[in-house]
Amino acid sequence: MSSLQLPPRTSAAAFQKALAAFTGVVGKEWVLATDQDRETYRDIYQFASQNTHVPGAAVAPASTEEVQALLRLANEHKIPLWPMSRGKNFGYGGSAPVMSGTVVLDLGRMNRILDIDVKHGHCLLEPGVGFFQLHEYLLAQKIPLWLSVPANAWGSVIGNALERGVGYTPYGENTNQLCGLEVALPSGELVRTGMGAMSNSSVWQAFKYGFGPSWDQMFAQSNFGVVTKAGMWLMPEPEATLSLAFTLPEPEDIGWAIDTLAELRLRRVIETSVTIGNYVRYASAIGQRNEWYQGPGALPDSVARAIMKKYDLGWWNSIISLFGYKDIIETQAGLIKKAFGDKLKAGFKEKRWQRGEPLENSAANLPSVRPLQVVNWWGGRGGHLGFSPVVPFDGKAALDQYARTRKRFDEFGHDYYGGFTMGERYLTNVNEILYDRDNADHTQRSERLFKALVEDSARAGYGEYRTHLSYMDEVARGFDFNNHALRRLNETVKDALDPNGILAPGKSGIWPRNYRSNRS
Amino acid sequence: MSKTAWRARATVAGLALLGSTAQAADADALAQGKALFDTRCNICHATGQMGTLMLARRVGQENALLANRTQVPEALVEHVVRNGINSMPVFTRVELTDAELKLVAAYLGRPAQAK
Repeated sequence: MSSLQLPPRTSAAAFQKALAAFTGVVGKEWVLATDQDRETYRDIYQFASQNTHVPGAAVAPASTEEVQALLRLANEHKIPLWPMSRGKNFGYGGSAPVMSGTVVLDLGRMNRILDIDVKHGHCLLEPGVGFFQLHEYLLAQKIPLWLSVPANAWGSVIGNALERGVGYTPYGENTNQLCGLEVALPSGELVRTGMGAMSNSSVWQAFKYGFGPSWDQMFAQSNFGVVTKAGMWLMPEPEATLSLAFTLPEPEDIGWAIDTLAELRLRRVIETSVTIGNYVRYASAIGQRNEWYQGPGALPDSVARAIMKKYDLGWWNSIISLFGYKDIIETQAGLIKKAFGDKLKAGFKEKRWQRGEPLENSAANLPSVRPLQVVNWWGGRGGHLGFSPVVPFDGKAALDQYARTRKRFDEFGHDYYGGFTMGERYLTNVNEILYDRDNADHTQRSERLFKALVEDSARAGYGEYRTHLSYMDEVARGFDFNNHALRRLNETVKDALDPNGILAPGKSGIWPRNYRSNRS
Repeated sequence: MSKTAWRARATVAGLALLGSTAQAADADALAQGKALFDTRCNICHATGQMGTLMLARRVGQENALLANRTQVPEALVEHVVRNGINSMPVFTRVELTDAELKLVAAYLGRPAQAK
């Protein structure tokens, strides 16, 4: 267990005094400051050899008023806070802060579903509401609205949207479904964005922009405020769904497949964030590597072929999901099949669902944590590190990105685990580096691989849409137009809103003035 | 009936009443533990989920479904929840308070006949 690490230039006495002041707001039970508490808030996938991102403590408010009071005390005592909703941002740092000694502001107790508007398809949530909780609530109340659930559904609905996570219905870019926020600014002042800025608006969750500048995205992946309530749009239950599963036998097939899908996505024949993933993505969710191969280096092609044969996988695998009125999705399916023509040797595997049938048979991704199983690929205490650059929605770009990334995985003795998720006009190339946390050689190779991937992608002009705590500075450095003008803007705003630098120093590479020397 | 005999019968009746109250409290605690297990743990420990797959490797398929296990040492449950094991993540005291953890541990530690 790690010993207490304090924020920079903070004495143990000053830190304890701040915790005592926090206790006055939330009560003794909700200031979590034992050695074990600190451990439970660390990055669960951190390499065993690392002792970074160690929280100083955690404090768990139950209300907006308590958040405001804690922010005011943090300013008074100059103690940094790291807000997190449920802490399940796995692969990107979980609940841990960038800067050791920062006190985690755990919003998990703020888990009320404040409003569901069935007619207009939106809700108002506190940040601690999880996907399982909201899904079960909608089912229990027989509310015909669906969530857009990410692969790991353990986390917070709002947290996922604020981190720009992705689900797999037409509402899949969850950050785009945010509509109206309530935010406690670093000073403790409370603001509501969009129409919520009116005291008596009835369309806070219906119209995103309000009057004048629109601020919602300013609070995504930032350290400018603590979101205490957020509106989200939810999808009306469709009449039917139709899934078209397909496989691509060779790595090079990604090129033509992406070009085919790009046209369909651009024209909204496909409305979901379709993902094409390689065979390791699926095999690692089922079994372990040593069932197939114990030798050194990345999996040989012969082993890859054996895995694909056993599980009936292609080198790439995908499902196109359609949601809506039956007649419309059948027409969409016809257009998709026509676009693919006879290029798919095995054709599509089709699955249909109609309203009234069991939900698990639909194309909706029901909440699950099963995909976390991939961390067991190597055995031991597993972990994964996500590398997720945004690349053009173009076949050649995807093929080049795959080839460049695969070469690096091979070079560092890792099994290539990659996929492309389709936005409307871009691809997110999500790669997972899987490792055994306790194997020093393995984790060192993982780190070197990650850095090589960041450098390669930056050279190609691709930046990540989301990254792990340890690499936020490195990734932010790539956004360098006009000698880092964006960083200067971000940090001008940061210093104006948070002169004491108490909120999430280092988040997304944004450092307040007083901690700026900590930039890596 | 002598006073002594009456007192003895009253004491027995009182003890029986206390016993049934204690049993009801135990049953209530067990139900609370089960409810917590179902909502906080079973997302991973249900059939086909990650926790069940991991346990199948470690303790065999027949013991993999945690809800079917009984007499799991309570101290072990408390340790694993707070410290993790292999790839199982830890739970903070916000996700599962100490009091809630004790209820879950008691549920998993229930005797076989309480299954």
